[in-house]
Amino acid sequence: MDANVHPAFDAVKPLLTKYPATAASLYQTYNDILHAQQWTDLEIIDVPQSGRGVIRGVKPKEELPKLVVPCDLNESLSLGWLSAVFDSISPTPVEVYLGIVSSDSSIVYYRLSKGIVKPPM
Amino acid sequence: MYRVSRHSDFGTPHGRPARPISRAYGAGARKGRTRLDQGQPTTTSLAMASSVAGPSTPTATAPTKSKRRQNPNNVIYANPLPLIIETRPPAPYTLGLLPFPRTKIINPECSGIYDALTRSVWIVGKRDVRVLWERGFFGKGSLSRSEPSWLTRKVQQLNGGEVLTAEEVTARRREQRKQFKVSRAAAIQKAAQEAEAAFSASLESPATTFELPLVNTPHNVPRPTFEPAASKGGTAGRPPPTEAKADKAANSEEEVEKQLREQPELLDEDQVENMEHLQLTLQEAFFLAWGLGCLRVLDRDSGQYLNLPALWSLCLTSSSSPVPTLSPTPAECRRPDNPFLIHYVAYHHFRSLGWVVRGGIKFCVDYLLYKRGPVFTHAEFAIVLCPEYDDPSDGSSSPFAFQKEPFTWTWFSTINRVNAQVKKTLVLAYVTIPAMSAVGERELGSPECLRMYSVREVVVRRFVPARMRD
Repeated sequence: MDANVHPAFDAVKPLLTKYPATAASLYQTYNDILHAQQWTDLEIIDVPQSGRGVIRGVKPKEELPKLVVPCDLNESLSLGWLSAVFDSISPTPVEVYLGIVSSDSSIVYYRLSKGIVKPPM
Repeated sequence: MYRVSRHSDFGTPHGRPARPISRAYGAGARKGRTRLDQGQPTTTSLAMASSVAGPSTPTATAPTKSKRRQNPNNVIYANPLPLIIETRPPAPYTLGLLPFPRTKIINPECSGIYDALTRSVWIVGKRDVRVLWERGFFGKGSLSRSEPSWLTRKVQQLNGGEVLTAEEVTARRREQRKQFKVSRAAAIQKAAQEAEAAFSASLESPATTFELPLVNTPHNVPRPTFEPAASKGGTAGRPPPTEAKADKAANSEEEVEKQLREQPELLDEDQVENMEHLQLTLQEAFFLAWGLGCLRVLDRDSGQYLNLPALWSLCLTSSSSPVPTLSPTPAECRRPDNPFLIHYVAYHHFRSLGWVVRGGIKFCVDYLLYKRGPVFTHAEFAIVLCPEYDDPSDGSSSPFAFQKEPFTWTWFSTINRVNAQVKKTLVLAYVTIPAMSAVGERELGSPECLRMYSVREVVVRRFVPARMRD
């Protein structure tokens, strides 16, 4: 599977060239969400304030769309950055998934919410 | 709590032909945790290749008792490395006196493609994927948890059958656990309500004594039985052909044929496009290409296979920033504290001791060490790389953004807690980076510079004086 002729490439191509620093993580996260996690109705949202594209889609067996913010293992994030991510997406999401990509293609997803969320019983 | 015992053969590679493969797999392997030596700079060597000598055929290591069923994993994953070393038995008439070499190395000669976007090597050929996964657990399926099983799962899903890959087993287990938690929560709530009702009833009639309904306290709640979730797809789409046989004799054959034709065609793996590849990190790729010599990497732009010097410099420049103008630039990557070099030193060190080394991002560490492979047991050791500079001034001029000394206690404590929770031993691997003055351009141009690094392992365990008295 060639990165240049991969079918998934077309959907994310404009943002890969716009934000080359985060291109690898966006590409791998998009691939994973589309084929492995099998989310539906995927669209890529351009979020200039965080310098990357964010994926929005619907998880299987759910109805409301969720957001996935891809990032790389060697990036350093701060709380300010995280709150900027929440503020820069409209409508303000309740929670986002942060997808951290490793070079061996492992992706770990962390669910982030603004403020304290009581865990389910 | 912990019994720290020394395995006499810790650090030796695989292949113990004399011993029966008894409890080497499964949870039983947790007994007898070993401790790596402290403070000994271990020299890396490729002596493992020669010491893995032994018959290549898996049946030679099978137990002699025919009654014992061979674990299929021991047959599939019998070779610890892609290279197979074959020793031909001496021909009887030569009496072993003739000096002809009887040992032959079979090289699978795999090839991969370098992907510049993800900075990794992709293995696409079906045979190469199986060879590299089954012999040493190199790489990771790009759409799977570890073993490349996406195509199997997709085909099974399209055919509507039951899927039994590792991902599905885990998904099922999580589903069951979730249902158990829901019913447990409901039981707890019910117990609380009953207690409240009993208490308020006793308040109204103060003469009666209040008895806590002990039977329904959460501790005594019987473990709720859960109904297994409906199997996905099921056999709804395929009417059994036996129904047709119950029909009258005259039309039975026609009915059977008609129903067989109406059944959806079962898809084969060859008919579905495989969107997955085996992804090797650059450390794994370079180890296979240089350390073992069984991998060739194709450069897509030039269409040529990269020779080792070109692959080496490609690996070094992979630590540069994806944006060409930002630091670190490819020219700045020619430094001994290049993250690729630090990772490669550690990777090569542990691989040459016989460990299966895999990425550890799921446990907030750099690497996980498996004794035989992820298929057999859970990883026992979690490795965190702690690079330290021989020359402290090199750190200030470094363009690379990795964590440098001093390491904070909160960071360290977090990682320790995570790994204690999953019963892994945390090992700090201190990698000493040689001074820039000691390493010249010529050394950095080839793996020559690796001999100037050293790796020291320190095992960490949380000590609680009040509890650890036995």
